[in-house]
Amino acid sequence: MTDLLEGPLRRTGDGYEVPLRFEWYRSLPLSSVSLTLAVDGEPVPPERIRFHVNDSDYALDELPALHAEHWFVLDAARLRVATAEPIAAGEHEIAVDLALRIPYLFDEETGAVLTVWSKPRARKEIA
Amino acid sequence: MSGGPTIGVSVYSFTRDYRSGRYTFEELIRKCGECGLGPAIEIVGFQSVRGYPAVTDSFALRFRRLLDEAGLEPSALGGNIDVGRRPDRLMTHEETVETLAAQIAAAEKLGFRVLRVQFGASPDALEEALPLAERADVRLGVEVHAPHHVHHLTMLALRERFERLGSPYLGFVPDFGATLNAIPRGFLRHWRAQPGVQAELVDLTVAAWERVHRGESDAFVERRGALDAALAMGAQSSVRQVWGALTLYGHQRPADWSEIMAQVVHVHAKFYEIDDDGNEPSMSYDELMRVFLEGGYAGVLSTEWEGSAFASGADAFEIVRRQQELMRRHLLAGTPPVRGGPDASSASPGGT
Repeated sequence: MTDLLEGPLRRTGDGYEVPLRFEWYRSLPLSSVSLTLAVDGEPVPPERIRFHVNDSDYALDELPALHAEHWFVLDAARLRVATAEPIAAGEHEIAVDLALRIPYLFDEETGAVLTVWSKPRARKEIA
Repeated sequence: MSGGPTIGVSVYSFTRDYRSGRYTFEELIRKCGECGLGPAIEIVGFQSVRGYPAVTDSFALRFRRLLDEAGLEPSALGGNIDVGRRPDRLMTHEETVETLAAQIAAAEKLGFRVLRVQFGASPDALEEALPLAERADVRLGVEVHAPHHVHHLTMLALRERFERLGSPYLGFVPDFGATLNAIPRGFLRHWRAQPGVQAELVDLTVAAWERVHRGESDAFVERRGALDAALAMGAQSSVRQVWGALTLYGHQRPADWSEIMAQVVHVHAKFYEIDDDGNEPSMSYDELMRVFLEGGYAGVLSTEWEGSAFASGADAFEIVRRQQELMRRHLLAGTPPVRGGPDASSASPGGT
């Protein structure tokens, strides 16, 4: 099983970033993705998170419209969090709830599209 | 054996090793050649090609050269019909035709003569895309994948339309996962071992599967019910297993494939496990191979191992080799007699 949070927690210009992969066999449109992030048990406000893939940063609320842009199956996205104060050095508890709508798996009668969840958790060190 | 089916493999079988970074796409193709798992090679566009359905010239060139060097041939490109890609609405007819057009072009560019499409492609969309497929010399094969089966209304509508249009460029891709005898044992073992799993949810899912298998209820109704139950129990993380159990493991009789045999353009020889006797315990390859050999099928049997999600220890190349050995036994023997009589396929539903 792939570790969905594999990789370092890193500082950025205005905060820090968390690596994130997803668990499906193929690339998915960004419109499939919704997520929440909590650090040390505290939910991070969604407007402070930018979703970085394909060399671009997207606000979480931009993702639903991006149905022609794909998250490649091998790529780790980066969740870039902007913070008022730098995150403290040391270990942090990272919790992501990732919901993926699987675009080809729909119920012909109801039109409902399958959503699956992954809830990776990890303790990560930042210098 | 001349004129009989050709054996090959879908690179999908190696998803775990590919996602983990153990092998690159190029290395997987080379290894398929080295291990003699071809000659026919199938790939999933959205898995193997960055930027799909667009295919760059350099990727296409590299791919064709790679197959040549490995002594392999392209069989089918696995396309997806992402009907639900927009959160606000499903794809329109025009958008479905557009995605078909883009993926037909991708298949042509990569050298594939078959494009696997999915049930989301309507008869109208396929009819409209047909001239493009004919021009590109790419046959469109709608996958008959569980819980669909050859008698499902969606499939009947396609069969009727294909019959009327009578083009060799429209057909089906039977997936052996539609014709199971049991939920694969490893799947249930793995699910039950997940941290925090609710045994009650596993049990109710298995019970739903068994009701469908005995013909007492509808697969789609049961799936809706079990997915609702999972959410009501707060078991979001188990949705993929509930969905999997009631989607991947179908109940059609193998003999029913003969009804669409004349329109089969490619076959997904799906499997999950191979036991010590070299058989697949959750389905009857004896019956499946008999049906396809007696039906005169002369296309590709593309091995598709879907056990990697739960058979964590198994070596993908080794298990694919063993499944191909199983198929080859039947090809060499010609058309074997059915073992166990007509009820063999419905014995012992449920697994352990």
